[in-house]
Amino acid sequence: MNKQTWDILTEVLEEEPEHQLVKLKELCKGSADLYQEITNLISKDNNIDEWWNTNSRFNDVLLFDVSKELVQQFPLNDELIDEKLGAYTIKKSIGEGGMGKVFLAERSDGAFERNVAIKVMSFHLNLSGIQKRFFKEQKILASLNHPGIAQLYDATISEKGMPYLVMEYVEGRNLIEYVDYKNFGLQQRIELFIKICDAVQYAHRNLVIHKDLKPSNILVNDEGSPKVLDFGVSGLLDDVTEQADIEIQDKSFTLKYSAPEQIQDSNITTSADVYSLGIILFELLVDKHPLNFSDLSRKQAEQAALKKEFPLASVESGSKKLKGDLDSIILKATQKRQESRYQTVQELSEDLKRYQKNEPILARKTGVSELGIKLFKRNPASSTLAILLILGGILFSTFYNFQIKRERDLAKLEAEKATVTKDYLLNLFKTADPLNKPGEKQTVGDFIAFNIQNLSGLDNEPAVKEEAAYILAQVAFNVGAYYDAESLFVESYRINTELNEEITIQQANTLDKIGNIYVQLADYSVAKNLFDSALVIKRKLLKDDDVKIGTSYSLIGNSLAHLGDLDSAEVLLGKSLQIYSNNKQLSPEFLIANIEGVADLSREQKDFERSVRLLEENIVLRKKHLPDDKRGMSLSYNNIGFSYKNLEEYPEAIEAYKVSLEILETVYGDSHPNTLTTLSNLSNVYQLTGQTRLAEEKNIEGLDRVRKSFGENHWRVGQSYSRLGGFYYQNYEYFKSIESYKKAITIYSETLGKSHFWTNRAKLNLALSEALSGEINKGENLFIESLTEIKENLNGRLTYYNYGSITVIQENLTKHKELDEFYIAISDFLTWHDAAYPN
Amino acid sequence: MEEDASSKAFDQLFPIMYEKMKAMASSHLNKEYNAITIQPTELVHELYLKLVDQSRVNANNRKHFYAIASHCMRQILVDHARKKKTLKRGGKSFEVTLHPEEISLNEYEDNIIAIDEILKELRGIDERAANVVEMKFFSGMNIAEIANILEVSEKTVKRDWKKAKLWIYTSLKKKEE
Repeated sequence: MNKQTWDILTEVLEEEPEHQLVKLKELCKGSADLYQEITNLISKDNNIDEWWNTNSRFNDVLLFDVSKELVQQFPLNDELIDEKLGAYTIKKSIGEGGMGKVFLAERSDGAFERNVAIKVMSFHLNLSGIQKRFFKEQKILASLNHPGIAQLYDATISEKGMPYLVMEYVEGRNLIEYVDYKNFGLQQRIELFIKICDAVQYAHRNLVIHKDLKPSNILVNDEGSPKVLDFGVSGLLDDVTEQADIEIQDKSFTLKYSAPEQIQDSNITTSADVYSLGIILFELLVDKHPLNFSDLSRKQAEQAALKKEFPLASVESGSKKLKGDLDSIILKATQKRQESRYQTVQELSEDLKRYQKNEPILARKTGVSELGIKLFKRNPASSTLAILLILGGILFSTFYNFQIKRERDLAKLEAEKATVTKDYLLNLFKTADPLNKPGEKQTVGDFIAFNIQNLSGLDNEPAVKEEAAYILAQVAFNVGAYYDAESLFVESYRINTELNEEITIQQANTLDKIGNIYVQLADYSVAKNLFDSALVIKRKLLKDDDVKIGTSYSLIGNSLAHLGDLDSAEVLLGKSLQIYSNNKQLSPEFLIANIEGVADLSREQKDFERSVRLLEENIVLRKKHLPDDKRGMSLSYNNIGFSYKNLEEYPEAIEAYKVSLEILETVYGDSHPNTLTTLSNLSNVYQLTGQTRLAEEKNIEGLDRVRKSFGENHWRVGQSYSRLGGFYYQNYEYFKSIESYKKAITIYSETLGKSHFWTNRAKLNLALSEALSGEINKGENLFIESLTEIKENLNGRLTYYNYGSITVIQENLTKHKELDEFYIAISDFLTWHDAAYPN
Repeated sequence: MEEDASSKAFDQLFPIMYEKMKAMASSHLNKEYNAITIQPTELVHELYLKLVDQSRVNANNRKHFYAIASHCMRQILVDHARKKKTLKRGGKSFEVTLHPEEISLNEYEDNIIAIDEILKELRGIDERAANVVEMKFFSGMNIAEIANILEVSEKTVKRDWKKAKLWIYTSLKKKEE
């Protein structure tokens, strides 16, 4: 059969049935074969529908078969014994877990003798994308190299598609058995536990969460060294199965030691491991698990694990030694609410060390006055500021949402130029106990406001006041209270100018700090002016090739990039890099900051591949040189996530955002602006990859966090509503997007004012949603109103950032043919703007 | 690479969609353990919602998307049928417990592979008709949907489908002889 047959068939079927044969005869023009062939075709018409229908039904069956194959369970039994897996021969079964079996295996290629433990998974991995992911994860795990962690040598997939992990084989007793066997006393048990914490902390620093810590996963060998098994294994599998949309029925984690958020399947961070460690500590000290799970159904056990409060260790054991500090430490580690727990394992182990040294602990529900006395006793030298701050400390300790104790950056920075005064201050910050007054919520704003008031008490000691204001400003900046930070920096700057007749380098520093606030607020032209002024001061006081001048170039360069002047930005960043590299005592810190800047620039230039390359390099550098600079680390990860997103490499983007988010949440807390930005970015990728509901969840989560921390009427809440509106808009849920944008506008108007760009940008977006929901007129009025407002309030010009927002709205409009007029309005506006403010 | 889809978009999209669709099939399986059928059309639409409405792929063009998605669906089914046949031929037992009519399932597997081959020939003659077959037969979409996507009348789709059914069936029977 050929094209001719097809064409004739086409023509014949155009005719009414009764005329078809006549037409066919006419077209075949005497070719009997052709006539016969097509007659056969037509006459079969009635028989074949059934044939097609049957085949079509089988399509469904076959598709089911396809899906079944993907999640095929792999039968695991002793048949595997003596089988070869790669270079290893399986010897005997040594254990069984939720997702597979563990075997003792021996290296069989004769290269060298080694016993290993091989964990064989009970499911197949058939999708190449997932396999790629599996290998990527295993690389991270294999890089964990710590005497307290059983090494993962390899994770691979057999020819049959069966994933397996090759791990260090550890001989020893499980933790609880070991301490009982050795008849360890309290101090020895704590000693051993701290070693375990060190191992876990090491993994956390490498961004690996265990997720399944329990005594049976911790073996202690004859030398008394603990080894944690299965590090990150459950995480590796979770990620992989999640990626495949495969739900493994039997959850791998052990209910008895799992944190509530694990049971509820929500956001798991390193603090889940803190929780498990808390229970293990309880068990170590009391010799039994805090809860009794026997005779409970799975469901009841789950409820108990989620809700049941643990008894005090001292009460349960009847041991007075546990009363007080140890009770408090366990209690703080095993808080059901993630936020109330120790944020890092390090905090937990440091507290235990403090307990050993008889120092005040973080967790202890000590009255602050008592704490003050303790500190006074040890450090009799004091100053006005110290006294003030100890009094103020009463507030610090009741301050519920205050996260400054996590501000290790600040702590570190300040520690360098530490004075006794500052030590007191920082100790108080660090030791502030959020547990003291649960239920009483004060916002960050309240906290800062109180301290600003307190500052006036220092009017007679301007030098101290200057420093105090500067420190508080940094605190405010770090928790995202930018407006307070600004007024505090300004205050500190003002005092500095009053105290010094000449200009000082501190003034330049302060100007840079204020500039950074405007960077955060995306007002790059103001930021650039401030950085420029700082540079003028630096030029007067320093040599031309001083690194501080390099910093200025870098800051100004970055601002210019945001303002759209990419050429000048490139020049300045180049200059800055030159200063850094000429400087013999070049600290890696400067280099890193600079690479970050060039990566920023690459993104502005839409060269996302270059950005990824630079950031990868920077992450390596950061890990090596600045492991404690969590802010920077989280920034790099966030930015690399953004770059991957633009390269449409979504799994990598999600991965990077998650890492960034984890750092941010641990170090800066839930509602820090950077945390929320990253959360929103992550949600955006979820949306792009079709995980719409998850994206919505993240958006709402972000909103709730901000509300909780800043109260309802704060521009940040407006920002979150605006993001949520954007999400609904992209999801075609216009009624919901309208609702969100309206809330955003109300809040923006009240906090930032009606003429603020953000207020009007939200209005533009609202207009779009209104129009698309059918309210074209309403939309149009709003649209014109907000454009007019923006036009009137253009101080100078739209910044690159704001310009970007408008072009995004323009892009959105092009998708909707029916909204032609809006498109024209925005285009007119941009044309007008470009003409009014030429580059 | 097939003759109809030499475009760059196809190169980029096909592997993504192929895997995504397979993963989606398995997620359906998990949600409804006892449900035997997942309609291919559900998957295609779901994928459309997941990928295209988010405007993350360059196939903002619905027509293009559905053509590629149906292509994917065809490829998934045919690949699977081929694989099962190979396994059987290799003498390995392959458990098919899904349908009591084992024989007709085998026959179907042969059919679908044959349909696929004839479809390739048809594509050379009439691309639109070949697309209709992919959407109708492999993706299980209805006439109205297909007409909407291809931007032609329902009548045209019906005619294409009818012709293609005749053509493929007859060709297949001929080959069997």
